Amino acid sequence: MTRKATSNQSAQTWSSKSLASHWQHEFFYLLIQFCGRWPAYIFSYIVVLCYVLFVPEVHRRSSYYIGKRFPKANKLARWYHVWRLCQNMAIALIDKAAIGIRGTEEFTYSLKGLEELKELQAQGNGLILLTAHAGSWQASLGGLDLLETPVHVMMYRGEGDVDIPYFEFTARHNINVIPAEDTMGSVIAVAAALRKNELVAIMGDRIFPPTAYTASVDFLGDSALFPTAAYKIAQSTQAPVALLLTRKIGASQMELSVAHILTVPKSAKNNFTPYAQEVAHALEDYVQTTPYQFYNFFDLWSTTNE
Amino acid sequence: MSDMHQKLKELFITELNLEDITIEDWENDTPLFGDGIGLDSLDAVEIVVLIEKYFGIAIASADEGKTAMLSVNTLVDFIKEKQANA
Repeated sequence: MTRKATSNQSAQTWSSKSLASHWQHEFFYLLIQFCGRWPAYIFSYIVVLCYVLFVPEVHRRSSYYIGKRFPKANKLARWYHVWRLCQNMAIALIDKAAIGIRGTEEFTYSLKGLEELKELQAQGNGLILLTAHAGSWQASLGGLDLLETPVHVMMYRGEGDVDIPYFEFTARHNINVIPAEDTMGSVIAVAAALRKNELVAIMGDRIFPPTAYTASVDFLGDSALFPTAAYKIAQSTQAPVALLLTRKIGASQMELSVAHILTVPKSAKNNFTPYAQEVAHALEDYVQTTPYQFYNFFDLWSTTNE
Repeated sequence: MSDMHQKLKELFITELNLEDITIEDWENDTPLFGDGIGLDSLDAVEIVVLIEKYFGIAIASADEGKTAMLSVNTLVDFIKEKQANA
């Protein structure tokens, strides 16, 4: 008398563990703490160059996205793209640590679509902010203070996340982290928040941990597996979904923008592929204009649900 | 089986599309998730919405929800307790 799942679990071996060792992270944290972000930025150029030159794993992890985004690039051009991507990623990590160590005053934030978000929330069903590994997304969440309403961030933290102690969102008065490791508890917490007409941020571009809620969509010219749990939640609660993408637009400026809005009707049943595809298209637009701030270092295109 | 047990099972069968399950076969203490009825974690969202819509009870936290959603029995106890304290 057991109901069967509608699709199989996704299978993807991916780890959040950093390539850098614990002491290397500690060194940067000390540098940020005592000297600020700028010496850390400068030092990062040396470190990233060494990694790109001497650590093949950097190229392997970067190649999935770079290969799709720059399919015609020759070997030298691809090397350049990997370096640009990794350098930006290093700066994003420094920014994230800087906020955890020195506070949100390190940056200024702008939010394109603020009024749209307020109108969506005024519908009274809560609001799902679909985010992606784009820009300094964790650092940029400080910009959500502009909404002046509680925001619950659903976040998975792996054992390899060495920077957890340095970034606990404590600087933000309105942000609450929902640990996704507690699958059942996190889902209930999300539902409870939405019923209170609050905001919930959920990742829309990575399937981890494995889940049955996935859809194959076209992304950068090939089929990729995207998560669909957010659309299922939207269908149940009738909360609208806003794709919120972040960009670093200056040394100390973060921009958040509403890239797409969708609603999932009750009649959608369990077919969420069209919504995942809409989001994938919006992400394609993002990587066309901001190619070096898309930080997915795993193979979105080889993920299967078999 | 009380009216509330019956109503919850009817709601779940209809709203969660439990096609292979009948009220008669459904024991009140059968676990809702996993090897019991076989709901998945995202069905918990629908349950939160249904409990609020049909019984006027808000599930306010993850801990409260996890305890209440073990079975139909625990859900009935939860709803009755909330109604008594209202």
